[in-house]
Amino acid sequence: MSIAKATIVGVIAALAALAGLLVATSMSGSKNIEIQTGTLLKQPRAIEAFQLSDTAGAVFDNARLQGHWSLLFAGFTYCPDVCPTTLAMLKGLKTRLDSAQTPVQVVFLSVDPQRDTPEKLERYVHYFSPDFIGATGSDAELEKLARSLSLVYAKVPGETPESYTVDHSAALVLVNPQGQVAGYFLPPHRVDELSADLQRVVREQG
Amino acid sequence: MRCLHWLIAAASMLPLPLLACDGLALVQPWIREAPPGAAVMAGYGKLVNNGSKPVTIASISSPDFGSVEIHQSSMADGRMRMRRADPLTLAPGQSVELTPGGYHLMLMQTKQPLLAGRSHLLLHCADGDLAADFPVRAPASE
Repeated sequence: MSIAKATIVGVIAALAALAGLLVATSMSGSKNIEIQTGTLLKQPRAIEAFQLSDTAGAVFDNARLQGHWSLLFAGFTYCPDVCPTTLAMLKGLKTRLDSAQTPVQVVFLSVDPQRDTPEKLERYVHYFSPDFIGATGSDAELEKLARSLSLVYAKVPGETPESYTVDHSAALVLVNPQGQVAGYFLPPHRVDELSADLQRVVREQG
Repeated sequence: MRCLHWLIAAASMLPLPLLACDGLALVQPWIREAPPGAAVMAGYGKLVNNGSKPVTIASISSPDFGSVEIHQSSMADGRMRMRRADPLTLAPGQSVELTPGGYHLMLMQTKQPLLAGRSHLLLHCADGDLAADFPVRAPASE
């Protein structure tokens, strides 16, 4: 093969590879949507099988994250400042999204199952909205889910055994209707911007 | 002379609210209304030292809570953390905002439901107490 022929074959091969890449990208369905309040993953990430319980005692697992968009937030009810601030923001956001026909399920994950009994968690979460889901479970299942969601949390001892606090990720995790992590929203959370971003993502990615 | 001693002794037994936490003021205090049964609540406002000497808030108490502390929420590496921040000293002219997501009063062991009520707190300084009356309400932005 002459050098000229080899070059042409090389160029054709490169073009073919590029075309394949473009087709693969468009077929994967991930459009480049710019959002102002967080990050969308280029490739949504699967969530490892997990099993928690909601406050009504029903199983809360991967299936509960399928068929609709969800926003997940990790916290605990002994958190009187940041958690209520975020839940109140989510209440405003949910009202806004509902009126824009953009249904999004809101889930508060308690990472403090020792103190957050289902009854306590239910009163806490439903005070903000009866539509919000409160879920928690064993340390092992919570750790597994947190790892899948790239959320971190850590118990920090207080002066008495009961007065510990829990450091936790401040991000909201966006889960798509296939039950995969689609992106993250970072604080400070503002209802206007979040609402605009979520409406766009849901509209364009369905 | 004996009479003067007696007067001083009598005066020292009286509460001296005007001299306590000298220079310290708590502006627009409020407590965030919390879900019924919440074991912990948060109080906000603005602490101002209008005096000419530093003022230290050594501790805080309330008939409505088993324990009250000053805490600070902060974010580091994408994580929310909350840490105890008292005793808190304010230099002359200094003010500290107690606001959601920052410094706040951590009101623990709630003794009774405080939905849309009021609560009284006593800030203890070296020279006495500052009494403050807190309305319980939802944040204005909600």
